[in-house]
Amino acid sequence: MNNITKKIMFIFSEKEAKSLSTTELVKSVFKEEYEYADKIIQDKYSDQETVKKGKRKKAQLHRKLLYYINKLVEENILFVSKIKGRGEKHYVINPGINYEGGTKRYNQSVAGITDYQFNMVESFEHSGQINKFDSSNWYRRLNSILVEPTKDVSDIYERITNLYMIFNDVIGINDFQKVILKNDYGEIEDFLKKISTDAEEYKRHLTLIISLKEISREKIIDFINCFEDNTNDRISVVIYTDKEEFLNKKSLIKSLISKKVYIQNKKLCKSPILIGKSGVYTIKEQEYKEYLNKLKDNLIGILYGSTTVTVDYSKFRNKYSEFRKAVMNSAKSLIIATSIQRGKSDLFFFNLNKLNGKYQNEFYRYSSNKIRIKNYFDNNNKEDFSELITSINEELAEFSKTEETIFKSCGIPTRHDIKLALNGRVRLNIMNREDLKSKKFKWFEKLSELTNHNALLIMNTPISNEDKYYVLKEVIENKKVAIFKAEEARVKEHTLDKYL
Amino acid sequence: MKTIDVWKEALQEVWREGYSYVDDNNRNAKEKQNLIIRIENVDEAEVDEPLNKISKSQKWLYPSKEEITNVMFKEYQSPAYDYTYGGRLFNFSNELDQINNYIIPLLKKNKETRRALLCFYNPLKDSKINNRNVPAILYTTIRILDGKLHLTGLIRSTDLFFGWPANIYQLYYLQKYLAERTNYKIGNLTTISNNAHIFDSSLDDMKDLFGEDL
Repeated sequence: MNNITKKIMFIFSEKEAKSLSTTELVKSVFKEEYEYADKIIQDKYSDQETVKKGKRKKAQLHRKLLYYINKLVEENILFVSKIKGRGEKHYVINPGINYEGGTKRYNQSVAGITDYQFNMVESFEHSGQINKFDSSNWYRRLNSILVEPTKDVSDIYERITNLYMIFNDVIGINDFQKVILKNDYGEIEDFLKKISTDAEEYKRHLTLIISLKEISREKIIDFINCFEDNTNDRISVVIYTDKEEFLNKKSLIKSLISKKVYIQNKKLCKSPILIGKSGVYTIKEQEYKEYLNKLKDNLIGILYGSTTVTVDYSKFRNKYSEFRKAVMNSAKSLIIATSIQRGKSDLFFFNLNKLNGKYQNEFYRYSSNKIRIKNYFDNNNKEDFSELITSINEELAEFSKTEETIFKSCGIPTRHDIKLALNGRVRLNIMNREDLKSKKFKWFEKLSELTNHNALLIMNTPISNEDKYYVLKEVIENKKVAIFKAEEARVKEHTLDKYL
Repeated sequence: MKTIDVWKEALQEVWREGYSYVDDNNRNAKEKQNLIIRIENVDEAEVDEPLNKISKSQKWLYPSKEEITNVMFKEYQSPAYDYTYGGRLFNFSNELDQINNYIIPLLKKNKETRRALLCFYNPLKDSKINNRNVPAILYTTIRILDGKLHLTGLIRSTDLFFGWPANIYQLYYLQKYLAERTNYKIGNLTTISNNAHIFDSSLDDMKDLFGEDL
């Protein structure tokens, strides 16, 4: 361990579980240098150049220390406890670390979180057939979380900021219309700018789920315009709606579909859909209902996705048995990953558990792991592929259930639920309602159903809002596609493996 | 007798004489009530052998030994679990360290005691109609006889094929832990399963493990 890290650990051990700001830490770690810089800044005889030098020095010390602090945050030794003032972070030490032991305990803790061997997928990884999502933090982070809104937009911002080191793909804010209604335009605008910047810095995604029931036309249009002006592609808006609203709010819908929003058919998929880098995330309808009825008031939200692997179908060249083997081996590695994740949840997810209080174990109740398939769309044996996916789904369901029984009977009550999903998104040309009868569209529908709507469709649609509306109305009324977006036809049809 | 042989006998007994039923998850199973399995000469009985054998399965993943013992001895309950045995032992209801503040001092003070009991089940948390994740091991009793520490575990529901190897290993470690700290030798290790069952779907796995011997 280097000297600066040692000093940081020592300071926390002296302060005993107190939350410390970056400035407090800088002042303590670089005591003499900081005091000297401060002295020359404060000295009334210092000229402008000298004062500048002092300020630069202070900034340099901050940056230097942040480098080491961020490493400790990455290793789950420190956590961001709060953000105050002009965005200054405060940190606490992970309570699982006995800082009285200082150096020794730190080394033990880091050594204890070893890179576990996942031999069953190693050979597939070497050949590029299987990839782990965020491989360096594969089981140390959760993939996707749905959080409930707070009244104050600054509270929801603070909450999300505390969670950036907990998740590695997407966080969704449910019922975001409530936040829009309770905060003024300026605050919302500021919030959108900040989450965009943060999402880019941390390489994460955010989904804002909006129901049209409680919000006026003016408010939602204002918000969407503000959203378009102030966010990057890492922030998505999902309009949580159904065919009745499409009919009854035609004028509003026509305005919305001209913007960069996603439409979710809540009749097909009840749980809000989150849109991440690896694809979309959902939970089962029954489980979402249980969450709403029994858990929502006790938790900050609910865990959607734990860990993900991607299997590249094209690299198996229609060798179905090899593909099946890769999927089932992936399932086994996901069991191990989940097990480690749950076992070390006190260490990995400290901030999150603190937020959920005494109901913290309920947060993990409905999560699932994903095996995402990529490069599947253009294969020539669609019927065979559908059958293959159906039978693999059955095998995965049985496997998950048996593994859950095994772990439970060993006194380890861990949920194991592994599902197939599609990687990334599919883009199709849908210029009129006839195109919805095309083979490609039907193929996508089938895949969407087979993967429980873990499939995202982008449609190249007519420019005119009127035509676009009728195409989307047909989709929401009669088609089995739960989440989709209409865009102008500037990009060719394709299947994208990465969202960005 | 080696633990693996005791286990095999128990499996055969339940499979041949057990009562057939369908559980609430629609799984066919055979069950025997109040099945007692006793391991004598524990140190020579290779208690980990059933676990070693079942862990080698190509078809299923079994928790690692480290994980299986961690749930018994990790004092701080991982937040993602509804319960852990270790959490219940060392921090029962956030109030009582049953190991350090009760059982060890009790056994040191009075080796004749018949009150040496460790509870895993907490009615305040576990006795809820919709709660399906509750401890299988309900409690253990410890008795010192002839300078040996005998441990008996009462298990409300034992998956005799998948679960018992882990449970006996956990209880063995607990027995060893207590014996070391109270300076007694290790005595018998007994499990009493209120409901010892084998799922029909485990039959092929049992045959893979034991061959036609079974």
